[in-house]
Amino acid sequence: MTKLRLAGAALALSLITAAPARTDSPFTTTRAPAPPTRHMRDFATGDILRALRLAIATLQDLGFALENANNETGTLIASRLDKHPLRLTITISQKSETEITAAISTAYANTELADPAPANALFATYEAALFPPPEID
Amino acid sequence: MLAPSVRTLTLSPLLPALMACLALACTTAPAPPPEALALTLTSDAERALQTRVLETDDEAAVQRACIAVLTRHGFAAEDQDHALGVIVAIKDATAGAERTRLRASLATQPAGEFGGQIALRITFQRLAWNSRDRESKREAVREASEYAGFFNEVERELALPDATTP
Repeated sequence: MTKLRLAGAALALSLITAAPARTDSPFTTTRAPAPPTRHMRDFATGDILRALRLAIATLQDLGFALENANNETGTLIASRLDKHPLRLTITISQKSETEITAAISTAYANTELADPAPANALFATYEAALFPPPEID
Repeated sequence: MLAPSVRTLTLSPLLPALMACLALACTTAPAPPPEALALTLTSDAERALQTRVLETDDEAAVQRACIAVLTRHGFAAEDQDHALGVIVAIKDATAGAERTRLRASLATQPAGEFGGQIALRITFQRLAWNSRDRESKREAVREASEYAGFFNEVERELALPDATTP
């Protein structure tokens, strides 16, 4: 019986040590900080409605299906059309009269990702849509 | 049937290790494959399939027509933002233990060098979940007839005499 109790105690201890650290705890300083999962970039445009519409077009151009759009919060949620359960959340906000800030969070199978690759690819395509090269006659 | 002492000896070293592995598995998600994170532009053909430019400048009327057509085909609006021209509609079905969903996701944009046109871009997507509620299918609908059928119905709803594909 004592051995069973010991086994139970060991089990409980293993669960406690394997549990994820609370991010709001002040006692987690021994662990390395997690890489950011939100990627931000500023763009020199003041027209937020145009910026949101171009973000929608950019998502469609990159093979995403829109799931949710809200012009009041400036938030767009879209997921890949094919195969991979990759979801992007874009929030566009007015930084100043002439600037907006776009923030992108990425999740794969409902788990947040720190990898900046999808956000960087989206920023590059979005920038090209916002500021197309001048047409040469 | 094992004797109690043997049972205790067998379980005590194994259980904590097993439970620790289980706890770790619960906290770490599998890494996505690299191709899942590589975003590339859709082809011109795909874009043309999903888009039709309508000869009207009445964006609200186009959105109403889209909702009417989708509703007629059994879709229910899941999300709408008229200021952004976005409509998301779904059509759910259950086949045995599997749950399936057809999702239509569209956006309207003013188009044309001098205005007077609305570009309508829609994607249809098939999704399915298995009996354990895990996603088992995610694919784009690629049949041209589905897209052409939708656009033709929208045009009829708007009573447009002519429309173009980009």
